[in-house]
Amino acid sequence: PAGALRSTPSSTPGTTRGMVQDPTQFDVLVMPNLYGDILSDLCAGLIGGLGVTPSGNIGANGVAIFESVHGTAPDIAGLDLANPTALLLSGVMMLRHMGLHQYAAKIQTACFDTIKEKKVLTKDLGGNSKCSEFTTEICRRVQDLA
Amino acid sequence: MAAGSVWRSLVRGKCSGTSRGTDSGSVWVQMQTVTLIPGDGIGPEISAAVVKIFDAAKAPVQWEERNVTAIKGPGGKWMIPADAKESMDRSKIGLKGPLKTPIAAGHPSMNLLLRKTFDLYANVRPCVSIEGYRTPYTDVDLVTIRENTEGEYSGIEHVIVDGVVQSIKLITEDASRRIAEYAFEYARNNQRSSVTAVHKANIMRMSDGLFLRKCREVAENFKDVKFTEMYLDTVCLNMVQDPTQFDVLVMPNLYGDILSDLCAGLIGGLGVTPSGNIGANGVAIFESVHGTAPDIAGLDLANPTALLLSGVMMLRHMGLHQYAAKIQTACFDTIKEKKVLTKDLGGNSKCSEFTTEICRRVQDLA
Repeated sequence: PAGALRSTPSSTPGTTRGMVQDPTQFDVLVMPNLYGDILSDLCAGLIGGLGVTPSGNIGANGVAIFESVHGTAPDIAGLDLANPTALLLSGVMMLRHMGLHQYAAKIQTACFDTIKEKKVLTKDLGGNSKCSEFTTEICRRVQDLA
Repeated sequence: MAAGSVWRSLVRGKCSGTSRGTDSGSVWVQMQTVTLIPGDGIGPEISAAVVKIFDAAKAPVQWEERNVTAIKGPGGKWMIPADAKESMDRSKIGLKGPLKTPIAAGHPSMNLLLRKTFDLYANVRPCVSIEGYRTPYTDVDLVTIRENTEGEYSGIEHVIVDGVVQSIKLITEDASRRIAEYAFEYARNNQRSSVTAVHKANIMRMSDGLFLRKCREVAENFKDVKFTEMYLDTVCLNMVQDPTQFDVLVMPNLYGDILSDLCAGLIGGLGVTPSGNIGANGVAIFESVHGTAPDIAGLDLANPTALLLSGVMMLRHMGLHQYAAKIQTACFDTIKEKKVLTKDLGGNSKCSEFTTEICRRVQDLA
């Protein structure tokens, strides 16, 4: 783009534009409610969608609730097909919030290594393993990392 | 194209003196006046490039150059120069380069001033992937249509108590209907298959709810165009994963501001994105939406693509589809070929060289 357009934008429109051109230019972003609704979903999309995105909600009196932000997926409920990654990474975020960094790192590594290895993946991640199989694989790696 | 024919009938009524035409083979084509606002910074040089390319294409356009600055009128009200307004009111079509807004206190935004002067209610940005200018997103072909007069940018804010501020989001039936109608007409006239209303009516039940209702009502009159609705956050989530699922998107002001920039980013940024503003009385102003780039102004380094593609959009609006296609093809082929590219496109050619190359292709396509 011409001349002065390469400075990191701070307006919401400019930020979304910057996000799709080069998300690596951004670090921590703080913003009011609506912009956050938009940007948090946009950024979830950048890394693969709501199925793999963790989330945390911080409350006033020291309360914090961590959550997966995808839907209930009623069509696959009870069929052992779901991908637990989003909730698991939210749990990892929770462990960090609790100061349990060692456990957080171990579980995160086990999860990411499983996905990276591409041998045991749930359907949405491109594989054909069951939720229980994916889970068992992560457990195995976690125990190996102990 | 409904908008184009409205424009043409208005011009026929008001047209005076431009009886010269160009002889395109055996067809007599009426020269049409367009108000050219070169703008600031790189504005003049990219405007000159566009004029040169249009000339090479023998497009039946007669340019009337005007400057737009904010001046204080008799009553102390900010306005654009009288000769600029007169030209636009007569020609109904404008092509504008980037304008700088002086930092002086109280000075209005130039874009806001133009918008108010001509009641530019629709901001339209077609975003098409440019072959040869690769981005992480391919096969993008969508259009954002943004309501540009009200919504979250009504400018109505007040302090309730110290430390508590309220901002009013204004949504009216008339503005919502008007933008919905424009979106569906645009879809029909440009052979687009669907219009998606982007909203957050689940949260903003009354304001976005009203907007959505008007879209639904208008959709009833355009059964040949598919109508869908999607939450803004879902659009963003899906846009970065698969933009090819989107076609024409219509939305209120703030969402449009955000989405139009997001989509510009998908195809490569503001340097290659065209834009059009549609006004109430048949007026339309097409413009590049990048900045004035003062650091490279006058150095023959600028990329005229955004302004040129805005000119192409303008030609389509005027019904001059043949010329539009020719110029667009010449531009895209030049970029695809990768031999003559300006710096921002990854090459090291001058603006003038890039322009000459497009002119050459345009003439070959004749």
